[in-house]
Amino acid sequence: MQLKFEHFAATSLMGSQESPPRNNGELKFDRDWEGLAFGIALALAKKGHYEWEDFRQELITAIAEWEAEHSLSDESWDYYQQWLLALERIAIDSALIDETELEQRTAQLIDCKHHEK
Amino acid sequence: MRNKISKIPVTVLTGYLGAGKTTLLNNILTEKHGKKIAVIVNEFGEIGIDNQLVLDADEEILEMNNGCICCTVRGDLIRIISKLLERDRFDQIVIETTGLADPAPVIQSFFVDEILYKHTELDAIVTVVDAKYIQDHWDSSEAEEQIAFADIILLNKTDLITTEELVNLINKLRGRNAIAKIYPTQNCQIDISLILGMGAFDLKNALTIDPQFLEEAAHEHDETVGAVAIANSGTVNGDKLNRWLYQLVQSFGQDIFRMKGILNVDDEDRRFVFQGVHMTLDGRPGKPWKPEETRTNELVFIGRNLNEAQLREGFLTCLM
Repeated sequence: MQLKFEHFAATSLMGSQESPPRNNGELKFDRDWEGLAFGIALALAKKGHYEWEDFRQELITAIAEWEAEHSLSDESWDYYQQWLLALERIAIDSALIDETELEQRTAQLIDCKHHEK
Repeated sequence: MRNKISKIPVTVLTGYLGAGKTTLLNNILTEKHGKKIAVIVNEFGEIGIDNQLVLDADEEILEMNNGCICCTVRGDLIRIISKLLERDRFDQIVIETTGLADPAPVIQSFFVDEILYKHTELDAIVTVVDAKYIQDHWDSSEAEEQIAFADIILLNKTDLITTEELVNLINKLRGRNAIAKIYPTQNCQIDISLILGMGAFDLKNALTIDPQFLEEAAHEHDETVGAVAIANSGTVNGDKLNRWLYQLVQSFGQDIFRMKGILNVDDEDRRFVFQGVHMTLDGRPGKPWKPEETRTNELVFIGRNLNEAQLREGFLTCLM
């Protein structure tokens, strides 16, 4: 039985192509935002904003899209970019944010990075 | 959602010898429902009927490694269905068991085997009961189990009994299985949509246990096989629940045919939903509670010689 949502969600990703990168069995986050994206996707599903299975299907789709356009040996492969894409899509689909707002906020963040330099 | 892959629903057909399983199977195969169905039966060569596929299974019971005799799976089914999944895409799989088969190993195969768990989903256990001859073998363990395990009971050959006998029989069936839908039929004539696509084992969409079931189970029945229902508000402690359920099935798993629960665990935003057969338990977070909804815990156990007081007491110890 999977009593904890986190346990249930992580198990459903195991042993397949959409499975997140690991190091020694532990989830591996190379950049801070990867862990954030992982946590947000999970927390929103846990809260009931969407079904985890729907997120998983978005992730499978995002990965398949990348694979359709790149060769498997392409080193620009970035698991969490596809994760983020899936998260953005499901957040829009579930009306948690609309596309314009997402664009605006992203632009603001990029802009603020530029100012810091 | 973009190209969603769903699990293939599996219907299990049980019933005593001569009750009408094959008739029902023929009705399913010949009705124009537009579904691509694979059928697994006993004592059959592989034959094709139009778009359908009929495969042969030989009942091969395998014990699981935990040494418990009620934890058995059907090796033949696991093999056949795994091959079937590689072969083609079907809309539905129907398994016809022999008249003497125990439904438990069939059901457990779908919880325990990884490939089956991932790619298929039990749809419903459909039991065909011969309205006339059931009286003669009412107490046989096969008939007991087949009725107790059912999600749907077709009470067939009702033309052979009187209306009064029919009413009595339905009451008797209710006493043994509080949760099944019962349909009286002749020649197993029934709208197939009442049998296929039931989602009786679907945990992700389960919202409540039908209040009628809870009520039915509360009635006194003088049967060894019966149901116990528990309804209770309050918050369940997840760790305590886990311990209680595993200890319960360790001690009494053999006598518990089926169990199901929809619970408010740790005051999470989602329901916790579980089901089980004998010692096999399957549970996961389910649908979210609505903000204004009253959260209740609902559990149903169907089994032999169930100790109602003990079950209730045990559950109460899991509350926060």
